[in-house]
Amino acid sequence: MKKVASFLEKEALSRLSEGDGDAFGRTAFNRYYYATFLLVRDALRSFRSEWTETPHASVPEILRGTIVKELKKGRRHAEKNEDKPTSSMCYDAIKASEALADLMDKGRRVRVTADYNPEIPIDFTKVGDFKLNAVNVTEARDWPCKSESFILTIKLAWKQINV
Amino acid sequence: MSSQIQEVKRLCLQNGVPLVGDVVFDVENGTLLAYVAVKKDLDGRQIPSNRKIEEVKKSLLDAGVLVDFLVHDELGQDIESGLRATLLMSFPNEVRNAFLSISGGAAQVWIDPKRTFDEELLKAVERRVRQYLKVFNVDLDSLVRTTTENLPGVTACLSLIRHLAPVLSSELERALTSHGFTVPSEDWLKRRLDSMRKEGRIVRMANGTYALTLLSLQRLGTAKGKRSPDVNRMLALARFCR
Repeated sequence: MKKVASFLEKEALSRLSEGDGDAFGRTAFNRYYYATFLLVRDALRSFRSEWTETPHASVPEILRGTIVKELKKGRRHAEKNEDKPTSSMCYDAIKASEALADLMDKGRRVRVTADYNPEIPIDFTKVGDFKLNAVNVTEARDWPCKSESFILTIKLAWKQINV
Repeated sequence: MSSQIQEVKRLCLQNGVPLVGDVVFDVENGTLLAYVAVKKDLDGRQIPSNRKIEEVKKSLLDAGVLVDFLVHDELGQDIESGLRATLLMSFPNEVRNAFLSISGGAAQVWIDPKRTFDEELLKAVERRVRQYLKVFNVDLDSLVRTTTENLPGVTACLSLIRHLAPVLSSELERALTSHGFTVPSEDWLKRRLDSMRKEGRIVRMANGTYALTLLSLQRLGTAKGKRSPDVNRMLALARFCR
């Protein structure tokens, strides 16, 4: 999915003169979001089976809600056991979960704009880059890698506190 | 819908909440989505504050407009790109990628390493990150190396020992591995167990098996519900006795 997004991103820039830049650019944003969403959904599924079919809007809620709550509980537990490494892993994972929720919010908003608001055009004023509704494609390109780092941080702590 | 979007823009302008980009309608969720451009004051506080944004959101809700405000920190993105470039230049053989998020005026930095970091390298990277963030008046809150290696912590070991006790170190090693933990060697685990024994967390029986001390049992506590460690322990014992 990330490869498709990257291909569409390049196509958007190369097809600008033909007038197809906007369509390809919107789809690139859409694919970058989906590449990220699928990674996050897989991670959620590995945490709890009931999160298998999580709808888009609920993903940030789960990350900021149940996951942070569980990690905070795990942190308190680790502190009670004088287990500093696990406590600090939980702290990092809480921050990662909150940051991932912000990223998913941002991605969803751009996807909604790309899919449902064709009247909002892609801005191609910057050479070699483009943006949709104030989000640069260079930023969207980072979403999958960034979310992988966040997910890994959460997974390590989640495993420690869910034995 | 356009009147609602106008109302969002009007109220935000009136309350000093600057918007960036267009306000869009999230068809799937039935809400409007809007970006608030935030910046930091000299003390590192976010402007406009989250409280201010919440107030505007509430006023809009009272007027029948449902809107989700998302924070757009352009400076934060610039800092992140700069940090990544700095680290990739300074540590080309050690750092593959770097990410940053800022909350409460402090930064969390995630490093994707190309190889294992020793203490010296970790300190050098941390020093570089602090130097860089200082320019922007941002403190470093935490530096996280993303790694797939997951050594079992004390809490994880104790929880498994409670579940399996009395347990041999070889059995514990198998159980930890099946839970997805990295156990470098049996010797590593034995040394870890020995240190927990010296701290009074576990006892070693004459036959080489391990069990928790009363102190550890009290510290681990218990929980009600289907995930109760006591229920798990009873089920494990039942399987053992069968």
